[in-house]
Amino acid sequence: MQGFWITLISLGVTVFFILGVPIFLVIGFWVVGVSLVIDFTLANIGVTLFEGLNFFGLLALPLFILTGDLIKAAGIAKRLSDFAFQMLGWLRGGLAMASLGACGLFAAISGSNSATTATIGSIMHPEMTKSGYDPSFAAATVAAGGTVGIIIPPSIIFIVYGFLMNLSISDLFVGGMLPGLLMVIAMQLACFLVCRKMGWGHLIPFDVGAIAKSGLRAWLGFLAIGIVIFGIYSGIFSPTEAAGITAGFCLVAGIFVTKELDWRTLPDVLLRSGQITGLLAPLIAVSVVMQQILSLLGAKAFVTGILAQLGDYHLILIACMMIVLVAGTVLESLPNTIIFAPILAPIAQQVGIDPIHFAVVFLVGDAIGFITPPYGLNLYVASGITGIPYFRLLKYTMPYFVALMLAWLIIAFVPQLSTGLLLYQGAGVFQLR
Amino acid sequence: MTSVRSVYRYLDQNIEKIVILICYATMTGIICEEVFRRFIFRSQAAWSTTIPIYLFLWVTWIGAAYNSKLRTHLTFDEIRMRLPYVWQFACLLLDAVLWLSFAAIVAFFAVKQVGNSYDNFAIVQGTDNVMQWWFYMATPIGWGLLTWRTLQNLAHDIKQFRERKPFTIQTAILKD
Repeated sequence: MQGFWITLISLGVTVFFILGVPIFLVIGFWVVGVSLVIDFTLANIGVTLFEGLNFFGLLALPLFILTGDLIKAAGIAKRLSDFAFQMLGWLRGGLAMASLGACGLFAAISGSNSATTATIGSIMHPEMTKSGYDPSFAAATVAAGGTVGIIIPPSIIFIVYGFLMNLSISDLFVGGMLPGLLMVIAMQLACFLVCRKMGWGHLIPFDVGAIAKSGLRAWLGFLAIGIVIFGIYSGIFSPTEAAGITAGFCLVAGIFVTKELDWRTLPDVLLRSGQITGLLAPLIAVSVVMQQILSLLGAKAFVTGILAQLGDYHLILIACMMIVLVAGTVLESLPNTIIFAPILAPIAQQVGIDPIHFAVVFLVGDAIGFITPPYGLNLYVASGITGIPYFRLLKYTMPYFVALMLAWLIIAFVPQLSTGLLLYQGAGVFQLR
Repeated sequence: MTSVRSVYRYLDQNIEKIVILICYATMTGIICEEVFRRFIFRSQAAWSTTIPIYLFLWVTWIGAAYNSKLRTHLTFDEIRMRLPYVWQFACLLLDAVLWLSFAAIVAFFAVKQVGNSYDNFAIVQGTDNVMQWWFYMATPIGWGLLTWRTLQNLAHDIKQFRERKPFTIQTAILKD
């Protein structure tokens, strides 16, 4: 009988989701309904919405969100975008490829997919449209480019994953470096092929002087990237401290060096970051409660029972990837990670998949979910900043989706991409296949 | 009376902004300052790893109320946008009922948690006299504010429906 009611509640909240009820409430009412069915105290909700977020590592979330907003307001993101354009503008589709490169550079300072899409999109979309690109393709490009926001370190989602699975966040960040780079290259290749076929984009001459000049103008961005990478890789800062230091650096750079940020505009930047924190952190808290209920229901044992029958390392890896991909089409990355990582990661570890490698594979799948319908957050953000309807973007996202899927398979079946730098760093890792 | 009304109007427009700005700036300031202090003076305040987390919780729940005010919580709204007018209104009523019900559950148990912390004189780790319940208040106050914003939005939706004016269904996320 319990199973019947839980199924009914799950169907009910699915209808809520389809009708456009906020995702927080969709998860929240599943939790309330199932808690009542299994006679689990609702007091847990009140407590976990506070205690679920009471963890020092999670502080990196608001700090990296703020860093993203500060590098935009300080003009650093624009300088990085200009540099990427000078580097790639001489190729067919160079501006779109530069947008993807700029997403990668932005992601190396900030840690959010939506901030990457919103910032690079607002800078590069008008430029791409002016240069003869189809506006829908241009918007799809920044939506797809934003996926690397959570893979190239620093990354908010890696922090949440590390917190949940008790893995070193610094190791996770190092593990995401090469896969993030591969994702950018794969998307740039897809972009080049599409643009060459369609003849989009005006070419600029290859000019070493202009590249060097734009590179020098972007020195603050490179320094910020250097601070993050050096701090994390050397272990001098914790990820939270790295986030704080980078935010402080961008603030000082914006006020005293670029002079594009002042004390009057700073409150708007903080408020915008507070708004994004108020979107994402409640989702983390309510997803933690959902994961607790799923544990009580024995979801882990159930999924383990099914996947264990597959037996093989590769089959289990593929099955886990399918689960993440399908869940990512309807769930935001944070709930997806909080709900499924504690279920799938132990199964993967049992068959010998390195925890850092599995984390990267899991989160790349999560990132692909940002551009998959029905719920593709980056598509919403790109649609919001460009005014192009959501469904029109889907068609133009396809080449990037294919490129990302291929990159994902490579990342999954070449574990050294995720763990190689860790071995070089000398950190202890599980075992490689 | 006029001054009370103008204070109310000011707070109604700015309360979330004020709390978010104070908490966000203080949280970031403490983290940055303490990292510098550790590197330069080789010392760090014990509360520098606890107070910022509690400030983060204030930002989270007041930020949630702010998103309710602006209707920017994450949703899949492509189907709702295409529904007939009356169905759209029904969906907005559903949102309001769900927000209010969930807020009632959270606020009830969160107040209990605050009460326990108050009764036990719990202090924040690393401090001598900073009470934990000051920070635990973030959840009930945040949800109280969220309830108020939901009621305001509901009143606005009913007014729009009566006047047959379009509803606010889709709000762009992160648009400048």
